[in-house]
Amino acid sequence: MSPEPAPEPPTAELSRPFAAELSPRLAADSARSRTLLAARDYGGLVLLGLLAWALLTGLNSFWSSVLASVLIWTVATSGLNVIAGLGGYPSLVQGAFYGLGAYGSAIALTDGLPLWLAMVIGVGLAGLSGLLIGAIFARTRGQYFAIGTLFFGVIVALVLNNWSSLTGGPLGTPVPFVFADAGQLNVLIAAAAAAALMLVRFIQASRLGRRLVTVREDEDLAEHVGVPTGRTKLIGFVISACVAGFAGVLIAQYNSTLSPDLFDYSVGFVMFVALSVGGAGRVLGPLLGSLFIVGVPNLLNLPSGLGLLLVGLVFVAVVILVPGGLMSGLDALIRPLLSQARFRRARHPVDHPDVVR
Amino acid sequence: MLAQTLAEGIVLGSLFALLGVGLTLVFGVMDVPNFAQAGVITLSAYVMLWLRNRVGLPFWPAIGLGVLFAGVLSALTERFAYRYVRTRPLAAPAVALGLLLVLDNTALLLWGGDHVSLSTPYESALLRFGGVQVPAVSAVLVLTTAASLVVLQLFLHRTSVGRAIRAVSQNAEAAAILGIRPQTQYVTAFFVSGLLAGLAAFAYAPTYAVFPYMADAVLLNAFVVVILGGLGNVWGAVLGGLLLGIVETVGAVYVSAAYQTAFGFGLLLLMLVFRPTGLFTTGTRRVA
Repeated sequence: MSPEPAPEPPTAELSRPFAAELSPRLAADSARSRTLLAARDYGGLVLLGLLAWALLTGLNSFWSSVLASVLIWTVATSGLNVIAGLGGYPSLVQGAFYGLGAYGSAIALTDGLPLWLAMVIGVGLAGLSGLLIGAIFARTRGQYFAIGTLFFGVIVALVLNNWSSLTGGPLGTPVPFVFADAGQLNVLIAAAAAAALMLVRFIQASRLGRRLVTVREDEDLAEHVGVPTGRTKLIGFVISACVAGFAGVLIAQYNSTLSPDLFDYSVGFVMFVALSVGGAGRVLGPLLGSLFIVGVPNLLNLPSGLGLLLVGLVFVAVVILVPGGLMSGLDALIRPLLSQARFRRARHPVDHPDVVR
Repeated sequence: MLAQTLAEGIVLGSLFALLGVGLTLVFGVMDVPNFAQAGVITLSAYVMLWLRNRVGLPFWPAIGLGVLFAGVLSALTERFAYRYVRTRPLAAPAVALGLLLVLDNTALLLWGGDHVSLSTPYESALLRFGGVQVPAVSAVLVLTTAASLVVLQLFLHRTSVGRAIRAVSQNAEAAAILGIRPQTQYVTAFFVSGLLAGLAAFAYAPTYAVFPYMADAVLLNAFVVVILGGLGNVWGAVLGGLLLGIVETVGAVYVSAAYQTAFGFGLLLLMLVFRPTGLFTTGTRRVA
């Protein structure tokens, strides 16, 4: 267990820049360790991507398809991690952006457009809706934001179901498969998952990421010290939407057919569940959460009702008992083993736990 | 045609108002957006069906026990879940959604996913007011809402328990200093809100089908009502409910029935853009 009194020790990545502002001697020191940390993190994520690709290729078709779903969900929930994890805004509309990306790219491909253009259309459609919805709902807070975004998810599901001439209605629509073979798609899925995790890692260390965290911690205070909270939230929200749109492009290709119930409004909320269970605001949170939410019910081959029932129970238990999600549970297990990390903390007492939670 | 549409709008609006009042009561007292209310409605409708068809109770006792069951279930969600996140506002919507998953899927496991209907002794009756035709089940819905609101109003204003709930809603700390136990009021508010959910199940299960996700979309509308009326404002919820019911029905009849819910969303958007504090806010948050 962590020796500090704070309930959740700061992640090294976040606290370092603040340390740099406090002392020039530490600044040089911390610039070096920041580079080291970045190299470690990005290197690790590249390795993770390679591992995912190896597993996708090596496993039998059942395990491989479960893993592919997990990886695609990792992309979508990584997007959610920007606005909901870093920014603390409970967006329940991620499933709709995911659906818009899927249907946007599928319709473009059906019309004979090339893949890259279909990707741009899918991601663009999700991003534009994100801009529109964000412009209205970014001004609302907490509960209102959750309800408003959930409602938009319902609207998108309605449109997918009812605009039959475009979407094929409740029966769904086939998607032209544009890759040479499944192997190419596997490369893309593994790369996309690693890239999405890296994107969150990058944003987390950037000015946008720090601004989002200040919004999460205390929006009024953030505004007082000059953070443009409205714009920050809007940018975070649009990034979330675009990443989800890309995940939609992937699922359209992987599934080779789309139906509206894949993008029911409840999907957005299960994505939020996945993120919270994994660890909101943590780079690897979406991966752990997706493994848990998508992987476990699939692997145990549970009937869908029982699977979701258990997901709900675990989710409530995690939110109540382990607010930081599985990642913080992992921290508590690993931290005592890393005596080096403890040593580093002792040398740099200025890593204020209360500056950034 | 217009009169008929308005009448249907009022029926739908009464349902939204009945649901919205239960939500706003809990929100006013405890700041919880209780998405799990939909699960309470569903399970209580199934319990009514089960008591009626399997146990063989007469209609009214089955309904009464079903409503009571909803109240107890709702109080249990407070006792075993919401109580632990009261100091963490961001966790409340998450817990609510998790509970909704649990409750809906419990219904799915126990009773399957088929659509079944709750039949009433008065289901074939049709009332006529001038040129407007109203099925008796719809009339019962409106009457149930009206009666529930009157009783709720009397409860909140004329009984000591109701006054205590309002006190906690206005200022929990000050109420605690005066010797009111907030914890008791939280459970009571959830119990009352659950009773309202049970009444809603009784009121609309006969017109709609009973199935595990029956209340989810309706409850979203109820949340729009709560936002329209201002979170925590009971009479705002009533007016917001009627307004939303009429807007959605008129939209469904004159524009497109498939996009009925979308008109409610449009109303929500307009309101958030032009009156972000709610239509009927009084400045302070209140329960009644």
